[in-house]
Amino acid sequence: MILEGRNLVKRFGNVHAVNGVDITVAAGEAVGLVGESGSGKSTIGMLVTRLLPATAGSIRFDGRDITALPEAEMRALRAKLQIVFQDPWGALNPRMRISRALEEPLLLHTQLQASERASRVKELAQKVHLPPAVLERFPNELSGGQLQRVCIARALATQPKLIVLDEPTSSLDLSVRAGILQLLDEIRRTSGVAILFISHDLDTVELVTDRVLVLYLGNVVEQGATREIFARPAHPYTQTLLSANLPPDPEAKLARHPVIGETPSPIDLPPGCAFASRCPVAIPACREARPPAMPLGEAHSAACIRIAEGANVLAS
Amino acid sequence: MSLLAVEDLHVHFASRGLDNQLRVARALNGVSFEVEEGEVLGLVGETGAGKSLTALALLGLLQPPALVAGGRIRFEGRELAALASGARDHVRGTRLTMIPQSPHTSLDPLTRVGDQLVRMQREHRRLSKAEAWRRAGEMLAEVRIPAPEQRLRAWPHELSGGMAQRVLIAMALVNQPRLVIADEPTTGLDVTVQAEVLDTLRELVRAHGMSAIVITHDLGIVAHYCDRIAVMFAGIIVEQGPTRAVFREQRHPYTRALIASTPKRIAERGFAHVGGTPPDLYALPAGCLYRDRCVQAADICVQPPLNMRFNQGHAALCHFAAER
Repeated sequence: MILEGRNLVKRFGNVHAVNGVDITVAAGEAVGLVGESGSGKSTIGMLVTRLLPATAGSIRFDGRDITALPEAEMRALRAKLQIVFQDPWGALNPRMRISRALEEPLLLHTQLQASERASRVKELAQKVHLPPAVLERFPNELSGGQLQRVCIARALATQPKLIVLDEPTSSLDLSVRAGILQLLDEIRRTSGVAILFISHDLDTVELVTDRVLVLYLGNVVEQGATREIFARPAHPYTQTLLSANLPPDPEAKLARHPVIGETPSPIDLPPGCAFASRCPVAIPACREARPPAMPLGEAHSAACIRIAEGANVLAS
Repeated sequence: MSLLAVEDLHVHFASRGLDNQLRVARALNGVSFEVEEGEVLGLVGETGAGKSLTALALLGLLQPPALVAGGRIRFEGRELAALASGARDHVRGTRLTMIPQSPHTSLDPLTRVGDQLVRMQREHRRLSKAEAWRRAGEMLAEVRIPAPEQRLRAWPHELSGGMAQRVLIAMALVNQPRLVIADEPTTGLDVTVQAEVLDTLRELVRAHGMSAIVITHDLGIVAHYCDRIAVMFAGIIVEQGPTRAVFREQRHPYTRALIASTPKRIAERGFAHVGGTPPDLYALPAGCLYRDRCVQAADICVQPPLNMRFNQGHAALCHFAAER
């Protein structure tokens, strides 16, 4: 395992953002984190990269416990653990030329000579299909898609083992987004880097990832192979979420499961299943204790007690 | 006669550069389309294609340096540009309304929801406060806000994103317009909430026999909620037609590229080479505006393409539109 988070908990004051999440990413694997706003998916990305301290739980990266690793040691490790953010306009220093932005991680993490760094920067630009002329420009002279390519190149500079991508295509136009997805696909095939892909865009997650974790109010409600989850979602929330997706095909039949009511407040979480208040198949027992993950097949599980009686499937 | 007919609409942005030379960005370059009674039109395209600008031009809300440089907008048989500003204000707000994007910045934070709905009605009609308040409550119920009577007293910050968007829909529909323009009505909302909001909007549009223009970059929304689709590129509609017909067979290479770049299609057919930058609006090329990005571009494309027409109003602006 390249990444192993155990029982991760994060509270912001009295807001329960992440409530005991286990997450693993194997070497070279692409794992998706999906969920709606407030589900804790971005927070988990920040916890596993140690950009935020966890309230409780442990994080192992590349065989080492990094939960409480001092910042100085963490810094060296960051070469192997990179993150790409949603908003490329905000992620790059506006006063730094692109070449310099790409060189910076090499300065921080390698002993390369200036000329070696320069040639490495050119290689990186080539790898993400940026024309060499772009290197001499400033971020405001680039398009959103080009900027996101710079951010990805920068993350790749130090040959990381894991890249966390937090909504990397959400701010981009459709055709530009396809180019970035193609680039990620290429990078995975050539470098074997593992990816933690955070997104609310179900179609993109289905395309990019091998395995997916579905989050609701800071809990993993279901996880398994991407293909399996999209074909046979077991948790009522996953079924509801997938049924609300709109495939870009007017002939596709929609079987919508309506959602009842509003998401509970993460300040005052119910004791049982967090989805129980909106779940059409909830029974009183659902509100009593947090449901355990029920195994459904190889590495597929869902936290719903109604699976035992086969009553978890929503009527369409 | 169509409810709305836009004909050869041009919008320019004029400014002076540092060298004091007049620079003109040609943002809309001859937009033509129609919306029939009871029809929902989806207007799609990438950032900067001119979708929102088209909406603003329809509503007469363009501000300098933007100006309408040519074209006609006929709504309910009347030329909108010919109306005096008072008459135009009346049309905008009672006959032709808009649901803006970003729900939280579009509501007045210092006014209760009910009062905003009352204001919207009394601006345009003689109506007692009590009557307008009662109607405001009905409207919140229509957009399926639970406990509408209590919600009338709510402040905008007390609403979730989905609820705020429903309030904006209520505001746009409270004066029973004939045509409502929804500019990215669900961007930023969660998937499940988006579906519910779109369902509500569709039901109301149908129930009141209204027409709608939905501006979006989400092809899934167009596929499932719009009767017709119009695809914009660089300030012009490159293809339009019935949604099913266009999704079945794209006549313009840009539409084809757009649909090919959805993750679902990529999963089925692999990556197609698409993308590239939009043309420079300050120096638009002659001929087809898409030709620099087009995989099919040929010598003839330096000539402006004609709008080729097919069945059921399916049309595309491409020299090769008739070829399969």
